[in-house]
Amino acid sequence: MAYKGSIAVAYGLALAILLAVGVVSYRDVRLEQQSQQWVVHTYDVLRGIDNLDEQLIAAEDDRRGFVLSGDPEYSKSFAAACAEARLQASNLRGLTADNPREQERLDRLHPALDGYLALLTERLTKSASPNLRLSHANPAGDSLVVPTEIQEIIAGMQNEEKGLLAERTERAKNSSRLARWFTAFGFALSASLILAALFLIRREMAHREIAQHALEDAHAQLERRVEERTHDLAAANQELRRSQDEIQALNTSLEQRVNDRTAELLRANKELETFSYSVAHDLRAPLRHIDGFARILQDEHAAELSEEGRGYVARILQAVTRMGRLVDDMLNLARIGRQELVRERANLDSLVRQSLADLPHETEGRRIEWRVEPLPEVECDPGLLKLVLSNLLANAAKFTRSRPLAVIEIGTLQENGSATFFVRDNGVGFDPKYADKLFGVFQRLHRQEDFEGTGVGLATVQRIIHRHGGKIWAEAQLDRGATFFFTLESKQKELAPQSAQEVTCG
Amino acid sequence: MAEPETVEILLVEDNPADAELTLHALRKSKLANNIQLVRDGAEALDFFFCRGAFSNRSFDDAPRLVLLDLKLPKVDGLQVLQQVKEDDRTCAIPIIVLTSSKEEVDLVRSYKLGVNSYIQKPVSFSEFQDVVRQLGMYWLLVNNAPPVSAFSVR
Repeated sequence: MAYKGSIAVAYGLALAILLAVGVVSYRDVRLEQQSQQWVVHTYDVLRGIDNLDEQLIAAEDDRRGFVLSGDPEYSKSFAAACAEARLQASNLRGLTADNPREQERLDRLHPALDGYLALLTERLTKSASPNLRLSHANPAGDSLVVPTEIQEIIAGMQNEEKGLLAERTERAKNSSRLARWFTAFGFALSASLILAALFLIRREMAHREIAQHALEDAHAQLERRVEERTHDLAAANQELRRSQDEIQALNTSLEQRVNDRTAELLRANKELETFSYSVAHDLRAPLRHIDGFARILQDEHAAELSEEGRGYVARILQAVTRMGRLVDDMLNLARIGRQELVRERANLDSLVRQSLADLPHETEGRRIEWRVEPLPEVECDPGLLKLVLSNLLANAAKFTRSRPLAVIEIGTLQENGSATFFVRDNGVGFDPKYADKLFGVFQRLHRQEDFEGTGVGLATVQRIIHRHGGKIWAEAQLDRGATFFFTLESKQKELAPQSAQEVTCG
Repeated sequence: MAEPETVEILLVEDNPADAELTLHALRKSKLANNIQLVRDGAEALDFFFCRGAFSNRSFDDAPRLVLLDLKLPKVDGLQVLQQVKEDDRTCAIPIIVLTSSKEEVDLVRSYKLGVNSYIQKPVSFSEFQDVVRQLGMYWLLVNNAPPVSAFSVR
């Protein structure tokens, strides 16, 4: 950028100088022309003066010639010379109109010239008469030289003009010398400026060439790097594709393994359930036999037994009843695990009513206040949900047995748009630190003598609720009643993932 | 060999304890005098189709009622049921499945094969006695038995 500026300035300056040189040269030529004219003019004046001088000398010569010879030719020539002298004098007045000093000399010259010419003319006329001509026939003595005054004036004029000529010649010479100097200097300066500009251009070009080379090098390097990078990328890509394939293969094998494992689990699950079912089932046969024979003993052979023996038989029958219930509950639990969930819209109110109708055995002769809120319709397996309600209501009835007035509430809470159902009683409750054991199979929080039960009921209830995608939990204080809460479908889970979860949790 | 008495009830039961308890209950209900007990499926089929030990039986002399257990050695109860119900000579015989199984598949199979009733043995003997008394009352007294012509071919 700086170079470009400098070059432009140098060229501009050189151009300006050349222009100035041109102008000066033109003016110089004009001035010289003028000076030449003035010199020519001066020469004209000088020639005029010389002519005047010559005419005066010629007039005198002609007069003397006439005096000596009387030749009329001289008289004619004399008159011509006089006329010529006057003409020259008047010409000089015109030629030196610009010079006051010459005019002043001419002012003096004219009367002197007139006087001299008049004198010459008078002498010529006198000598024409014969008397006079003799007396004056003296060629040597009768000479009338041009008076000093006129000679001085002429010499003055000549000097003046010569001085002017010298002065003008000098001035013209000076002015053209200055112009030449100026021209020479201007040319030299503009030449050096152009040279400087050329030098700058050369330098600039050299710089550009270097920059160009550097750019080309950088470009080549860049291209090389791009090529290298492209190569690297291609390699990385290939690597990536290979690992992708590997991952794909791993995924496939993993999927296969998951499928295998799932199938295995499903099979194991099925086997386990079949096993537990047939265990429970096969336990029933000997139980039936024990009960059967003990009953026969009691009914038909009581007389043959002692009081103690009859007591033992009664104890056998009690134990069998209990075990029968355990086996039935286990069978139920196993069945719930295997059974397909059949969902439909069901009226929870009517399910509660049906469950209450199945409770007469426990509630007979007791004061129980049932507080049943109106309940909504729900999406569920009605048979299984009735089992849930029956269990919860039977528990509530059972654990309020010691209360003179049992209060059992059934209702709903709305939480975040989903319904939570609850069954609350004012019974004996339980210690909350055992709450986690509540839903385990065969887990009981009360002694058999206080509250009979198999410890399978709540496990069954939990399994049903879980199969519905819901949650169940309980809050209680010892001797202050218990509340069981349950939901039927957690918002996040839909049917499909639930059943999938059911498979893994079994 | 004496002239065989008409068998009123055929009991197909492999477990001796169960057999004894069932017989006890049946006898106590005083509904049948002639009860035949067979101990496996093959023996039951011999009885139904009058062969082997029962070759002197006649198809016309059909039992009034059959109590059939499902879990049987050799030939199981459902196979027995199927063969009996498929044969024109035996399909009219009322058969009651009396078993400890309450599996849905067993119930479905039995009914599809044409069983006349399905009863799960209760654990409690008193209940069992009650059930036996009721079914004997119904099938031997209340219900009209199929006539002899129901056991001939076509």
